[in-house]
Amino acid sequence: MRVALLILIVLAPAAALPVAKHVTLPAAEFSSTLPQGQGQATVAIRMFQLDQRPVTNAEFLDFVRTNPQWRRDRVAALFADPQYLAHWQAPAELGAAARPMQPVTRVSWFAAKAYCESRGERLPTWYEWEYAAAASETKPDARGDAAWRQRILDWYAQPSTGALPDVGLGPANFYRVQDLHGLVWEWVLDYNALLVSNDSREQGGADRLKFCGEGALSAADRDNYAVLMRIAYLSALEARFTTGNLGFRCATGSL
Amino acid sequence: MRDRLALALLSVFLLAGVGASIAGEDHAAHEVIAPGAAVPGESLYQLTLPLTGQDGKTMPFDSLRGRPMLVTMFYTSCDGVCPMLAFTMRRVVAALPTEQRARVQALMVSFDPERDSPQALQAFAKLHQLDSAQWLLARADEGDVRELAAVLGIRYRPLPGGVFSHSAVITLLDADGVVRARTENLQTLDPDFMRAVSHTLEQ
Repeated sequence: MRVALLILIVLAPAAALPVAKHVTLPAAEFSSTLPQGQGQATVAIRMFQLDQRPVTNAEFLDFVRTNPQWRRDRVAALFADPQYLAHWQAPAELGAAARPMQPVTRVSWFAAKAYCESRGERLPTWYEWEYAAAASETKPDARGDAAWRQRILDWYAQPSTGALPDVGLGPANFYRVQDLHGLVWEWVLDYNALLVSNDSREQGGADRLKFCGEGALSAADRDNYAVLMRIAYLSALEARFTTGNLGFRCATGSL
Repeated sequence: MRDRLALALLSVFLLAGVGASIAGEDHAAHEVIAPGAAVPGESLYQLTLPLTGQDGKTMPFDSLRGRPMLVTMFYTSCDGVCPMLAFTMRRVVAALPTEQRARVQALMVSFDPERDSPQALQAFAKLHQLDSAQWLLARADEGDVRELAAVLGIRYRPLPGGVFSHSAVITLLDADGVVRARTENLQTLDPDFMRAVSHTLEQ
């Protein structure tokens, strides 16, 4: 199946590949890995639309060409670190090291957010992302499915060597969303809502003040390691950071 | 199995840390100033951020340029750490030599634009004796609040019942809006932070 897909992609001219498409996810009472307030088990998610796949180099190149303030040689240092789009051959050229259909990476939160806003959209929230990513190919919430969880964990366990695959090659999940697992990490709108504390912080008097209120995640509580790794990763980011395996997709719908 | 995953989790933290330090080292070389704007590239005044103060007036964030500033984020109905944030900022100002004291601006921006009206901000200022000549308590739109928190490295999350979980950070900006120091120490006066405040005010 995978081989057949690969052949199909190789044979298809780049221009014939579909542009980003949204799918609609229904409203839900979602049980997040993030702890809620006292007596609350779920969070209400409204109906929203999500990109089927991450934003590509080609799409981001178009954005940078129309919005030159987001070129790597013009962006304000507050909004992107020095590695922003560093793998592109030139500020407005992809070159050989960045294929058009690869997910765009080395983008900061500000840049990802500006891209979605230029499309009249926004980044998905963490809850939206987690909700979409809980689905397997056949179930809207497969988090209790040990085999599915293991498959995702296997991706995290693989060393990331070599070039990133193109977007859209992963299986479509229950909502027809692709590449939520197995390709890149993804920015979310409220990446800075993810508070992670560890046991030593909980105990120390001074450190207890670092996070006011409940809702800081104790990394020891839960079994869902793949989601915990996402949370841990996102919670260590700053808005200007970029890395070679951090991309994004866009969403629409009122928050 | 559990151990291997704990290791993987740890390596995620470490990798993010490495990224951070690399970004820090290259920072000076990368300074890019947008054409036509005199604001430094890493200045927080790059943000477009309308603030509405406790007096109900709205002003652009960069109208505060020209004066070193202590800035933090809070919300008025927070009874935990937020009064401590105001108290600590007041202590920092009070510990300065008299001639420096009036030259620093104090800014507290709310996480909670829904509930923190100018009246609520005014009441908080009164309760904690924050003089409006020096203290600006402000609300901003939700998206702008998130951007400000992002550049200040502040994490926050709304929880049911009007409660916010948030990190408590006080940041020092120089007159141009560039971050000079930050502290999360609300128990004692942080000596490194005090030195940075004094040094910035001398410039």
